[in-house]
Amino acid sequence: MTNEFWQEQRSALHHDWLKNQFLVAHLRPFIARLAAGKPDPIRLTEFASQDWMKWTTNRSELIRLLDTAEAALSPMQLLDRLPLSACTPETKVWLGGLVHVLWLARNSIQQKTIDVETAFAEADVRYQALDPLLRRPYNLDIHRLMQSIPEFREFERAVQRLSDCIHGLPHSIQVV
Amino acid sequence: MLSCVNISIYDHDTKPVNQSDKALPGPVANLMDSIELKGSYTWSLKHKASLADVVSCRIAVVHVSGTDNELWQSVCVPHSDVAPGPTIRIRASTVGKQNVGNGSCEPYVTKDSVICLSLHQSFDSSENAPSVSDWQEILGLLCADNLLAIVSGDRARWPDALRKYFCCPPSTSLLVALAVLCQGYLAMHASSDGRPEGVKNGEYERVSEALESMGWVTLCRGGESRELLIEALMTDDIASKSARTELRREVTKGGGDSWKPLAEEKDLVIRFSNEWLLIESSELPENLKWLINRIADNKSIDDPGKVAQAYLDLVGALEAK
Repeated sequence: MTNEFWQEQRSALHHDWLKNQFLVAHLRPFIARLAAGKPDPIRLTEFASQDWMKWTTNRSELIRLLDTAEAALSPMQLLDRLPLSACTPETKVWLGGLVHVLWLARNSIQQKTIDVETAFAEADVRYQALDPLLRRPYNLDIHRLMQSIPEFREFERAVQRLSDCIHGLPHSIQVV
Repeated sequence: MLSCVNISIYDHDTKPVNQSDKALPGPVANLMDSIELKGSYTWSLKHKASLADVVSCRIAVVHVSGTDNELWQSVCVPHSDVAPGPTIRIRASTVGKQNVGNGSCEPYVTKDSVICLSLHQSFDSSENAPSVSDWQEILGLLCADNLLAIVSGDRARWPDALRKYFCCPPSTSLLVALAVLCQGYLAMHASSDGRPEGVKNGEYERVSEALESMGWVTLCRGGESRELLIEALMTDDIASKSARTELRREVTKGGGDSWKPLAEEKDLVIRFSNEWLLIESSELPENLKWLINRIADNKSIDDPGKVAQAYLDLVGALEAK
């Protein structure tokens, strides 16, 4: 995956969906409605049937984005572009490997990707735990949902951490 | 001078969402509060505009998704306001330089004479959005003289601030490629415990500094990094002493394989100088000029100290970019 394509994917999945839609526009208002007491069942159903399940549909894309981060952000990609694409295959092997590990050493990239994966795993576990409460959108147990506000808040914090970690990954190829 | 111009502001993040009136932060969020604008116009901000408002106004700041070019094009039509004057559309998005749909963020004028500007920065969070003072500067730039300069396409007439916000960052592909090749060269003049190797006494300090800067020393400190190094350098051949000696000979000799991609470029020195001028206001530093000339002339690169200094100069310039 090229760096440009990866950055576009991140923008669509992270900024447009995870942060602005899932977290800010839907999850937080949902929790606020529960916390305010006497929530409108129609709005809860709307959230459960449309917004909540987007986590499941976007999950695999998000995992793929995180799995490909190191390769897509690496300066090794420069060996596939002019002028360095004109290097001999032998040079590309040793020079590509070298600039990649130097980049890892300079930027703690592997720690950052571990942090993102850990944040994702935590958010995903919390999602799976809460999912049964919202799996039947037209037959929600509102009392149970209100009892679970602390768990929803924990999930919200986990999603925020995930968002911060994804944002912390480089926004361009860094050579120096 | 024009006066009492309405600026229409459309922000797809900041508009009310569903049942909640809570506004979301977006690149244009800071513009949503009333701000005093200085410049050739007297502004009246039309907050939280609808798309219909955008089309009717002469000047509009529009935040649309980086990929929603259809929406962007739909607002880039001449204004329906009765007042005379140019129609200006300023696009802000989280994607930044891909704003205008053709992969470029350069200002352009449509066939209907609409002046389209695009903020080239990528705004991935509300913290990175332009501040109130940024917006004051951005909007204050849209005076008649600057608009004429934009339309004329004569970049020399553009004030620096206009370039800062509305031009793509300069291409530095040659400088970046040279930095990569310098890393390869310097790594072949270093031992696997992080120290310079095969360099003269007088060069030791500069090469050490360059190795530190490029991450070699961190890499060689051991643990996982050390394993990564061995893995990356192909374990049984390139990491071995004989293979590295061979590679050192290769990167040092005139016309060696690793420098060839640059040596084969036409007008190398001029093109390097032009790229350098885009990010630094000075001439090419002496050691960098020496290195580029050696590459262009297929001469041996036999001075690790000079390469180290050239690399450090590149780091300084590219980091500041």
